[in-house]
Amino acid sequence: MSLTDSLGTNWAWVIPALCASAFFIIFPIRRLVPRIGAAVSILAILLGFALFWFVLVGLLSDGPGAYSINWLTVGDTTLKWGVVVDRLSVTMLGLVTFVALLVQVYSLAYLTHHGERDPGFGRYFAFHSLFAAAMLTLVLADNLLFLYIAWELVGLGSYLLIGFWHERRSAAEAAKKAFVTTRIGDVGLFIGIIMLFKATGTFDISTIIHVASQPDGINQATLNISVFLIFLGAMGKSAQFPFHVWLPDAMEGPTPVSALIHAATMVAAGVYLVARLLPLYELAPTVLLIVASVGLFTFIFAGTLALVMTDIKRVLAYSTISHLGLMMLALGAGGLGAAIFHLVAHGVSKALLFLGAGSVMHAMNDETDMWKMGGLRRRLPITGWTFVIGAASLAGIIPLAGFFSKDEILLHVLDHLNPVFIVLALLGVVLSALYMARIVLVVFFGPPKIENESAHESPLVMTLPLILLAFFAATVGFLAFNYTNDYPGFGGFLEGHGEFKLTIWLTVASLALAVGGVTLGWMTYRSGTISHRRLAERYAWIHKLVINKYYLDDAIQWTIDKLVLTFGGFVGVFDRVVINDTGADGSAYTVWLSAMKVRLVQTGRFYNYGMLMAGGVVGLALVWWIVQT
Amino acid sequence: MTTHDIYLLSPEISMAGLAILLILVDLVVSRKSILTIVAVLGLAVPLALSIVLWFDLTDQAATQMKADFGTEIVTFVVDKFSLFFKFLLVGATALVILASSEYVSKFKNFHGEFFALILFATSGMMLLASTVELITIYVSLELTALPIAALAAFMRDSRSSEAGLKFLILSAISSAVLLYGMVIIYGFTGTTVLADIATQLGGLLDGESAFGGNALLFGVILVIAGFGFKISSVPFQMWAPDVYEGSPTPVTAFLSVASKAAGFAVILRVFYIAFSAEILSVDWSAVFAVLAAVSMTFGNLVAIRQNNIKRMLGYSTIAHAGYLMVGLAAVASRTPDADAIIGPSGVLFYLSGYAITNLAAFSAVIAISNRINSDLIDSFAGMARRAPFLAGVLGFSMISLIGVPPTVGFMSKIYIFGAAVDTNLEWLAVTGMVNSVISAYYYLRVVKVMYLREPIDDAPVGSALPMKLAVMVTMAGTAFFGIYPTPLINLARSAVDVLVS
Repeated sequence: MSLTDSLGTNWAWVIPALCASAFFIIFPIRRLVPRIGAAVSILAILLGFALFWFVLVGLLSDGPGAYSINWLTVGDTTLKWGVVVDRLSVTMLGLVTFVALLVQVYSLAYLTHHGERDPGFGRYFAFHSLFAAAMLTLVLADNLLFLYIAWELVGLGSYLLIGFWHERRSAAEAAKKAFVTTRIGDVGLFIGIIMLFKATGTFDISTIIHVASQPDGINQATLNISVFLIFLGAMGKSAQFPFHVWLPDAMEGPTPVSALIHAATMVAAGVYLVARLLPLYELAPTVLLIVASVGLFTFIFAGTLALVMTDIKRVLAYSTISHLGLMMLALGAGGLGAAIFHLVAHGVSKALLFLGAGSVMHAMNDETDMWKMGGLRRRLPITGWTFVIGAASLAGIIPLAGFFSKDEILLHVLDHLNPVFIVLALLGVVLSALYMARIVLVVFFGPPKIENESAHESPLVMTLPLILLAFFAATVGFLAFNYTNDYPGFGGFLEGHGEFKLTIWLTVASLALAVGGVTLGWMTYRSGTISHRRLAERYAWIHKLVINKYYLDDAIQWTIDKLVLTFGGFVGVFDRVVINDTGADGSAYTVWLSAMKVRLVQTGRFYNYGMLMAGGVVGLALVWWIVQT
Repeated sequence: MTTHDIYLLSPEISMAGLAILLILVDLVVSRKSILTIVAVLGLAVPLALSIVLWFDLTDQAATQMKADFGTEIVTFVVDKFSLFFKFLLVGATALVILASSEYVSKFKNFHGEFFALILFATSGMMLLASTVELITIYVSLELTALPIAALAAFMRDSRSSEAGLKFLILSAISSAVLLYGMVIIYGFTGTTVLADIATQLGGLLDGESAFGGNALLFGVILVIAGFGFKISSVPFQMWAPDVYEGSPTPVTAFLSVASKAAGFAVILRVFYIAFSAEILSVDWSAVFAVLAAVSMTFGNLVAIRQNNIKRMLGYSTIAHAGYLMVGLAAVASRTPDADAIIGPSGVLFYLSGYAITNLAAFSAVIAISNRINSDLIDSFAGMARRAPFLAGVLGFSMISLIGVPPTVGFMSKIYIFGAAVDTNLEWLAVTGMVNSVISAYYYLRVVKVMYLREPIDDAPVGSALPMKLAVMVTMAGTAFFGIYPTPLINLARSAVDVLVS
């Protein structure tokens, strides 16, 4: 058997291991030879991407596999480290390695300004490797404990990368905000995992699902509460309302980081988690409805915010939140395949948009205000046209990726949820098209502005990833169809059953709404038929409400300042007086005092020691005598 | 003695042979660093022979060695249990020798003898792990004690001499106590072979014995007291801090790891084979539970007040003897459906984890204090800047001694407290956890002093290559088994199978 024959699903674990080793190699040498660090990092992820194809072929020929080693046995419980290689995890594997690879290559140029490398060049690639290792472990993990560890490492990687320019106060603050906000959800996730463990005695995902599906497997209330708590974790990572506040701020990080982490991978982790546990959610329909509602609300809510932001990256950030909401909505409708399909389509398209935005910023000395841009398609033709493809894909224009995936989601919503959902979802589609039209028309069309006179196209290292991503953003959608009998379309392929369907009127309606949204955008931001300035003046209070992000950040800040800190102050006094002075210091003082006294036993004299030994023998005999009677 | 017997004894014989070789080499070479190299490389021989024996363990009868005491009796066996300890002892000895390579320059003379004494003591300990007969146990015990007394006094200053003398005299007292116990047991059972004692006791305990069980039980108590000295359990621990402080630091490391391991080996063997009767084991388990609780509490409380890092680590080993005795107390007969080997395998796992961690700590302490000529904790101030690597290792081993993940200290505490919970000793597990919190106080103080205090002197503290090697090996072991302990646990579990079958 040759090496290539033996490369199959059993090699999947090597992919995260490669990235983890890269991290441990790069970190110590990050300052000495930053360029070698970058090379190691890119090489690791490139090998990972190559291995992904072998794993995929192995999966298609041999079917799914699971591999684990025993980590630790405590009492009757054996904890394992294991990977599960099935269609879901391999899809994620492909997406993560592909986007990570392109982003790392792109970063080579992005972190070099006028031939001068960023001082943190090596550190940047070390963190990228750490993040990739964590994310790949997360999608491969076959048990919840292992997944949780990877989940937290993903959070750590995100924290480090958002705060990459930590000397900038806003970046440090944003990193902290992202970490703390997602941690709140993570507490729920952890409690949920422990509850499932208590109920089933295992962390293994497939066993938990198996136990839960038995008639008297898990008590319904326990199941409801635990999967809801797990959803809280997913809401945090996937920036669902009201945990979305960290994502726009996370744009303080380097733009390629936003493309990788806050578009294609980390934020997808929440969606992935719910998808992985979807059989459990289906046993808890109440929670599934909550998932759908939170998703739908986030979809529309974030869409309105994307419409008024003026910072190019923030528009994309809110658009990401919105589309993550759409994926959650799909999961709430039981559409695993549709949700993951959109995850992939969105991941590719949004990574493209972020990298495009990065290219624009690179050309304009880190300017992010949309209104200072204009007509950039002439100065940055490759960036411009690839950006148009990404935006059109997410706006839902046929025949790009986003159109097909969105269509499948709408179909599921129509089939499985209350009609209210489909009506509102279609409204969200209009919003998507509208803000995408806005960003494209303002930045790349229209008259050039003074600020961008010196703008020039980015180097090939940056445009090549754009072109590749644009290619996939344009074509991934065609995976939707059932070309052969054993390929039932992407959704059916992922779920392992079901077939490709089409409801003509819905497709036409969604396409019409998307085109309508774009047209509205054209009239507003290009031809000037509708004046957005006049609209903003007439409905000033709405505009003010939205532009202030519905005052949600302020409300949270107020809550923290007034309620939490007041309560905290009270608890602080209690802690100082009762817990600390009486409890901790008190007992510490007692320990200290006893230490003083006990120490005196140790006199250093032989006859004392001898006496004590003799006394010890008598004492032991007494103990035995007491035990016996 | 047949050739086969020599084969069975080969690790011990090669160890003693290496010791003699070192004395001879010392006579002819002038560069003393050669001694370290010879010693460490030479240790590969007993290790290799132990490995060969491990893979040769098929026929149990073939691994026993008989001696003619009038009648032929089994005195010495080679099984996985004894080989586990031989691996541990050889490994620990190698690390101690590496760590002392620089330290020995403090002695004007007798470098070869220093290493040779360590190796002689080790060969005694290796015998101890293999013996299954009371007289042989006693002889092996003395074989380890005498070289250690000489080693403790090796520095030949007043503290070191005091340490040697104290160890010698107190060890003699404990030997006397142990012998009394053995005599009483022999008197009751008429045999010195552990397995035969078990059979005889089975008969005695079933019916009413002539003297009542109490005299016999007093014999068992005396045996516990005698062994308690070896493992420095309260109330037989008094020698430990004085000897630890006075001895040359590598000897302290050797005492705290190897000597303790050998003590636990012989306790496990005696109690699990000779005193395994259920009615007896429930009682001695309770005695060990009380000793465990008292030892860890005493050790931790007194360690808080220490200013000398060697003395602090001395008390710390008393506390760890307490944690280890939790594993002795966790006998399966306490609960109907317990895992029969969870307690003893816990002891073996904890011992190996503790050995790795403590050797990391001691190697770092030797490396630092040798250069700055002080054992006071305060003199370690700002060491994070003067010796970042050594301070990092010392800090990491302190974390492991507390029992915080991701270190082997955490894993072994989880395992041994889990054994206590499984055998209905929840109170002991809780006591152990409270004690771990108390211990954080003095372990973290070392970290605090190294990282937060201003250095007294700005001169960097370097270290020689063998030192670095010892420190790196132990540090890597502490981290590796902290993340993936399963191989070690499996090894420990397969080693203790012979005790319960």
